[in-house]
Amino acid sequence: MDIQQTTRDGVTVLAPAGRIDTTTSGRLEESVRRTVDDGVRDLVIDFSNVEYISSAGLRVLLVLAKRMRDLQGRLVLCGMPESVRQVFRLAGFMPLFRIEPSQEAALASLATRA
Amino acid sequence: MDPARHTHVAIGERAPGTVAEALDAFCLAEQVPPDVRWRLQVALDEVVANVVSHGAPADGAGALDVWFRRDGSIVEITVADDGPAFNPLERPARDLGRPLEAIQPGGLGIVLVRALMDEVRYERDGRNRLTLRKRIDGHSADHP
Repeated sequence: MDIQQTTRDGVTVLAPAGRIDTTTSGRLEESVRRTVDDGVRDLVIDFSNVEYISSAGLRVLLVLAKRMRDLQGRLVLCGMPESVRQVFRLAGFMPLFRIEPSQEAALASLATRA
Repeated sequence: MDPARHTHVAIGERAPGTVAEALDAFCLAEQVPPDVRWRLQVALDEVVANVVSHGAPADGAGALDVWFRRDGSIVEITVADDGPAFNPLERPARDLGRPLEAIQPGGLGIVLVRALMDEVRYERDGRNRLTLRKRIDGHSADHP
């Protein structure tokens, strides 16, 4: 799994690609930990290129969401393919996150609610 | 019930992939529709990943066995391992409406498995045996 990191309008965007499962979730965990440790408080995770997420990936996102809340940061998820969205739904995760359809919409939502 | 297909896999990093391939072959042979196939793939991946993490016996070597069956509209998959006794269903089913602070990172896998399947059963007969059951009809509109 590759993770692309970009900064747009002062917001850090992480875009993992491929499968987020037991084998690969450690990479996502390390990437988000480093990003938050570096002081990022506005974070978008773009799932457009994620083909699969297992509970190992959900766990990383849950820990991240709690940490961002404690730091009064803002986390927006976007670009979820239907297979990823369905896993979120089944796990009861939809209400726990701010979820936007696209990266543009995610950035716009952070800009308007700054 | 039709005779089961059986796969025997050494516990290790490659086990989830090997089991996923066996499931694909089974679904193809039994013409399991894509929506049910997706549910089985996700659920079985969770179960096998859990066995790989916790299911190896104390001596380190271990294997898991998976049986796939289709009986009419029911697909049944049983996963057996030689690890320490562990019943994932002892964890209470989670109330999906709880807020962020009330949700623990552990146990998300079994939450998913329960949500994906119609029935999940655990038995211990010297091995851990987890059986997943899913009906094939009735979910055609409920998949990615």
